[in-house]
Amino acid sequence: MPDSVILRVDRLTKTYKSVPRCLTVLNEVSFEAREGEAIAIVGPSGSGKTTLLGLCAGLDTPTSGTVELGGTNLVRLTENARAALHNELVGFVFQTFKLIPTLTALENVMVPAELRRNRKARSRALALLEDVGLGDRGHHYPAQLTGGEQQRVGLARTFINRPGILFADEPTGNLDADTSETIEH
Amino acid sequence: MLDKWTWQMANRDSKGSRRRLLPFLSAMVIGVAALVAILSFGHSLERTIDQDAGSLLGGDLRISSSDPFTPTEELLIDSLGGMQARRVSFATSAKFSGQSETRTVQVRAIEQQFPLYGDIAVSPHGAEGEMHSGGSVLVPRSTLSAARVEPGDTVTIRGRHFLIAGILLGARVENAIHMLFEPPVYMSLADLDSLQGSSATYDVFFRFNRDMDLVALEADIQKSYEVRTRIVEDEKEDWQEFLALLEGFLGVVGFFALILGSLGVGSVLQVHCKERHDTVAVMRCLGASSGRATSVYLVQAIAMGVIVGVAAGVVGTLGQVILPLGIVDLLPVDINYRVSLKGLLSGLGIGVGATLLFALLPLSGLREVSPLEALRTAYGHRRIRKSRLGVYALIALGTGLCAWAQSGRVVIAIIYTVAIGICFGLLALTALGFIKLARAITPQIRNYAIRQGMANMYRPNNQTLLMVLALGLGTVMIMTQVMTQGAVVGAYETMNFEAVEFPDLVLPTVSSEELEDVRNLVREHGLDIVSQEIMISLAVDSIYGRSIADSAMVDTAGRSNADRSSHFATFADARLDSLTVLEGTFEPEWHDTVGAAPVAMNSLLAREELHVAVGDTIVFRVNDETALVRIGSIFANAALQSSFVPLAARGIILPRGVLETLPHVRSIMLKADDTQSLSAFYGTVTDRYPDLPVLNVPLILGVVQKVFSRITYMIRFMSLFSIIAGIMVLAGAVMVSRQARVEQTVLLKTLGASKKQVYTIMCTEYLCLGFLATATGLGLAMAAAWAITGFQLNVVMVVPKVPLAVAAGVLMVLTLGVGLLNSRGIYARPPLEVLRAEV
Ligand SMILES: Nc1ncnc2c1ncn2[C@@H]1O[C@H](COP(=O)(O)OP(=O)(O)O)[C@@H](O)[C@H]1O
Ligand SMILES: [Mg+2]
Repeated sequence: MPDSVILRVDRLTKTYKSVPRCLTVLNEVSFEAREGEAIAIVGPSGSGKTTLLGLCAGLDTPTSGTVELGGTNLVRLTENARAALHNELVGFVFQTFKLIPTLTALENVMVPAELRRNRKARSRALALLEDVGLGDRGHHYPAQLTGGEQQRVGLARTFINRPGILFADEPTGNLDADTSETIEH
Repeated sequence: MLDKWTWQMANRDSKGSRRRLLPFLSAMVIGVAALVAILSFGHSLERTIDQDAGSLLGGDLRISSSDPFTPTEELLIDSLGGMQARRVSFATSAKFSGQSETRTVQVRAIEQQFPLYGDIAVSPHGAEGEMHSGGSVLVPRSTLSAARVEPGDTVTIRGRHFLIAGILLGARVENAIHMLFEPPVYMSLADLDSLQGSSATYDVFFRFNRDMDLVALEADIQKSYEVRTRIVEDEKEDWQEFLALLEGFLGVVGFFALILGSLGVGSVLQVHCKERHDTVAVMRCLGASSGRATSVYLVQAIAMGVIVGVAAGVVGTLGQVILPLGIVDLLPVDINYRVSLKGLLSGLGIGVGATLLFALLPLSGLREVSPLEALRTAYGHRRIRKSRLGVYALIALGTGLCAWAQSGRVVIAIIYTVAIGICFGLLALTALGFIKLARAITPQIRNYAIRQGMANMYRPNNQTLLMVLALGLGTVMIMTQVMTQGAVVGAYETMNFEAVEFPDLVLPTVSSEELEDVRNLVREHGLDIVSQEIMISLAVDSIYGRSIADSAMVDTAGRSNADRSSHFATFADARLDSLTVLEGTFEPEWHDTVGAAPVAMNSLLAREELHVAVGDTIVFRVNDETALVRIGSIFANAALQSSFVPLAARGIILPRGVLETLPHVRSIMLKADDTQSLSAFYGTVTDRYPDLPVLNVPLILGVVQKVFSRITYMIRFMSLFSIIAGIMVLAGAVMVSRQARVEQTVLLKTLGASKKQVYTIMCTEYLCLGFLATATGLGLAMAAAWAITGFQLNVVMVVPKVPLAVAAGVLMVLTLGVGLLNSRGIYARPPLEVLRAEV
């Protein structure tokens, strides 16, 4: 089913009720994304990219409109179901890498697999670290890695559960051009 | 929810933080251990007393009388059966060979079977048998060394010479504190007949083989005989009362240490969890529900609680041996220290319970973290949920429950909780106020380093409030203790200088026949009579309640021994004017021969013992006569002035006029210019009246001092617990802010700050903190000491300036020291390493 719709956004509106006045960041946004498709959202800083991404990924609730992720309407989902969906379907790539500082690189990569009680978490994580060229750095803590290395660990963590959809918020914003190149492949 | 993943995560996540959590945990351990120590000690003591109550009393039942038993009473004794042993006791002066001085001793003439439980420890072996063969006595070691005599020397008692057969090492039936005042001298009952004088207390001890309802038996005897009785249960009860008092007393301090520890753990968890906000947000993006992510930290909190509980159980169980060192030799039994399961379990319970309770607040914060925070930092403040208020309420409830478990009384628990709340509230308010003030004045400071130091006190994530609470609470406790003690000592000192000086000797019961002769002796030896109060020993015969007027008489036959025992009364005199009348009017004179004479009664006696109010009438028995009186007024019990000054102010004050005809004795207080005339008088009077008690006041004061210092030792010991807990919290608080300090230092260094500037910044901050905590603590302590001395002890508060200044100085230096110790080497850290580690 190569062309099935994995993300459907319908008349999505988000209004922040900040103190001086209400701020409508998104106004009736609608679009669809199919499997295998790559969508880039471009805009100046403060235009609402992160807000949209958060809503699509089900990290936040919209003021109005609906988001359908993998065929389920996010708005009506319970917390546990939403967590399960994140674990199974969604992968994130963060601008600031967001490795868990108290865990080693390997432990970081293992987290999503362990959350779903995958017995092969360790071996898969090791293989992924090997793939991103950090096979020998598994026992290092994030503070002992450079930005680029951290991002690669982050990618390994993102892919360990083979997500159906990947959300990336300015993934290369914090990296130099060379590393950016590598990541985009 | 608490599955393998949670435990694994909790374990991995904690690796880097354990060292930092340690001081907080140890503070908590100390607090819980203090409670466990008290509990275990109480448990050990209770158990020991339970097993040994028989040997404390010397039998299952004791029947006593101040006269030889009458034929009917002898019939009763015969009918009771069981094993029996008799003892006759009297206080008298003993004159040791080669010594002109005499000592007041308590002679115990005993039968061979006595005591029926336990035994008497003597040295050398066989001395007891020698004593029972007649003509010799056993004397405590301290008395022997005071009189500089040894076994083999002689002692004269009631006109007869006795050989000192050996040393009385101890006997459970003897009360250790009484022993200090009147050392017991044991002799054979058979020797009693050969002595002059007759006044004595006669006891028969019983030991029953079969199971007896002693309480019922006691009631039966009480109903129809004029004898006093005591059973093992009474002994146990007395000790339980003492124990409850001790536990309550020590419990307060342990309780404070626990609160302090909990506070530390609570605040370090607050920091710990705050740092984990990001991690939780990421975990939620990776598919962990908020409950699951939070449970990782719940598991950590539980683990901390278990560690605290187990460690506290061990430390506390060991601590029970150290805790009572000061009083252990005053206890009649060798305490059988046990590892108390109850103590261990309660340690575990309190440890886990308190940790979890104080972890609730930071944990509830974690639950509110949104996964969106992984994408960008939270906007503004998260609103405080109502559940937080619930957590505060739970903490208050937990505190109250703990106080209730400690004191066993709801009112006290409420008072505690409220007092602690107020204490914390005031400390917190002061700290917050000061932070505001610092914020206001900081911009005006010229010196950059000092300005930065002040600013550090209100930077985000600062530990100012915690440090002030920890230090301040410690200060409150130490200072309150110092000031209360100062006031008590001060009260004794001022008493010394005023008109009512301590006498050197007191003859508390000089009869009318002896009076003239004793006065002459005093004059001959050049001593001064300070006072000679009339003392009447009143025994309650019956009490008429006012509401039921003259119609019904409350029968006193069923009442306990306490109501039957006699109370001291004296006549109104000018020196008693200073008494505080609480109720009714004080009438110093009364000339009506028919009605009931109005008396003034000590509030403690009236309210706690006799349960009477103003207007009630009482029939007292004085020897063979009776006196009908009515309570005219009730005066305040002045705890500290009771012992020597107005001797009778402890009991009842009679109006002058008609009651002078009652049989009475005189209590004569004497003062001497020099010790020679004093000891000469002492020798003569005890020679002539061997049975007349003579109290050597400096000696007694010494004993009082001794007992007093034991008690202060225990308070000190417990305060130490809380001070150590406070220091641990302090160290932890400093440690928590170390990372922020390191970053700041590195930044300043790259901007070109010198080492001196960096350290000035830190010193300023710590000095300010120390000063703030000390000043706040001192203020609160003053208020507390004022309340305690004013309302509880009835003494004037004195502020001991030097000790307070020293304590304040020490606290400030301590804060600075702990702070700098923790910051050492910060300046030397290479900037790159620090900037890289910044997460
Ligand atoms: N919780 C919030 N409250 C108020 N305003 C917000 C909040 N979150 C985002 N905004 C505002 O919404 C706008 C869009 O933000 P964002 O989605 O982060 O933009 P982008 O990612 O495109 O830079 C910004 O102006 C931001 O200030
Ligand atoms: Mg953005």
